[in-house]
Amino acid sequence: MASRCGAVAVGLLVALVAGCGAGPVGRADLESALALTFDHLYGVQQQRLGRPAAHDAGASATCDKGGPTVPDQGTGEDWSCLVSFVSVDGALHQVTYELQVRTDACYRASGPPSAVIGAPRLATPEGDLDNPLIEFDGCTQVL
Amino acid sequence: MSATPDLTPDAGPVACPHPQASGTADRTVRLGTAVRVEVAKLVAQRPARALLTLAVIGPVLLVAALRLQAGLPKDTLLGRQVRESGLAPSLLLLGFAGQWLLPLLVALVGGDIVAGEDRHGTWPTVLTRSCSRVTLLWAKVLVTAGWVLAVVLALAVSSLLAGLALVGTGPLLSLSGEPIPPGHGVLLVLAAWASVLPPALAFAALAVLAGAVTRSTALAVGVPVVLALVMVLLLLVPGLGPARHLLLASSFSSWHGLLTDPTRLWPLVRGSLVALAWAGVCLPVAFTVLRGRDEPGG
Repeated sequence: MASRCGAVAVGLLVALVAGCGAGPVGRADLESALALTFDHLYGVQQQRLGRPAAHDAGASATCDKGGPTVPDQGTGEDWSCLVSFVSVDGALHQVTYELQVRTDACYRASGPPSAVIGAPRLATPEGDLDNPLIEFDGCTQVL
Repeated sequence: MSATPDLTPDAGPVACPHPQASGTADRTVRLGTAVRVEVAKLVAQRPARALLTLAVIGPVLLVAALRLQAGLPKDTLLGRQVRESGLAPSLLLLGFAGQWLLPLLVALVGGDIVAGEDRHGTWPTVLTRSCSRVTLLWAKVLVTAGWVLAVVLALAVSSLLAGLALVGTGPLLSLSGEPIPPGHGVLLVLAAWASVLPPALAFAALAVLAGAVTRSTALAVGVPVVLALVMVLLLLVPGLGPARHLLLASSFSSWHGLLTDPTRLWPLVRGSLVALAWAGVCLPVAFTVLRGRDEPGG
């Protein structure tokens, strides 16, 4: 009797995990996570540069995996995302990030050092600090 | 220190009440006695004391090494922050802990606590001296759970204090890029460490089961560790889908949800339920195996 109850409980759990379980990371999941993370990190970068942090970069992202023929979902190193944002001076900028999406629904984003997001190291009032926008880790909500 | 249990005179009867005596109070006294004996046996073991010391000193050495070396462990989540925020080294260690360190530390005691009696040939002694077989096994399970708590607490507190002392109180950037102030961050790190307790306890149950089945300490330690590594490898398979969450290795990373914006608590609930299910399967089987054994004096 007890073992039957146990088996039923484990079966229910499997169904629950499978049913409520997060699916593969989709394009929308990645886009919303990346845009939000970029917003936050832009604020951190500006703060490190000694500029007012109370600026909303209003970032948005458009992601694609492996070109037009590959479905835009799942893990891989072939994700590419275009992030659009408004800098402190009010100008609209765009920067492309290469993303590695892992099976744990987290990702690593790498952007090219440029005039848009800056150099890998920032010359700040407190000395050289890492530029948080060059390379960063994040997780989607599909955990 | 000898392995002889040191029982104070007022700590209850050394020998249990008559095994046939029933009643909850008697059972509690018997279990309490058995737990005290098992704790004394564990504390008397030099490897156990050495492991706990290592769990306290190891994180300090790790943080110091991370502080001194030129490169950053960028391949690990939050690894690039280990010199910016004192909270990051603790979470870096937590990431490793779930992969093999905790299963190993837990299995070294959980595996030996049952199989050790076979190794030393002491089943006849403990079964005559102690109470019923079930009481003795419950005591061993409870002491193993206490060990898991002690190890996780040691790793968490030690890495957190070492990080704050050696790296400083800079804000931690969350997994959504948000700066977390140190005060709130400390609570989040402690919560993250607490979230690995259920899967660590499940690995302890696995070790107890492996010890009961194999009667060999080496296998009882080895099997859970190998299983942990196999699960970590399985997690890398993209085709696994939601079934990946049924693996204990996945429960070990449920704390990621604490560090996203908005906070995701479902992974913590799911991870705990999965761990409970693993323990709920392993322990009854271990009890059945051990009760079915034909031990002299049992």
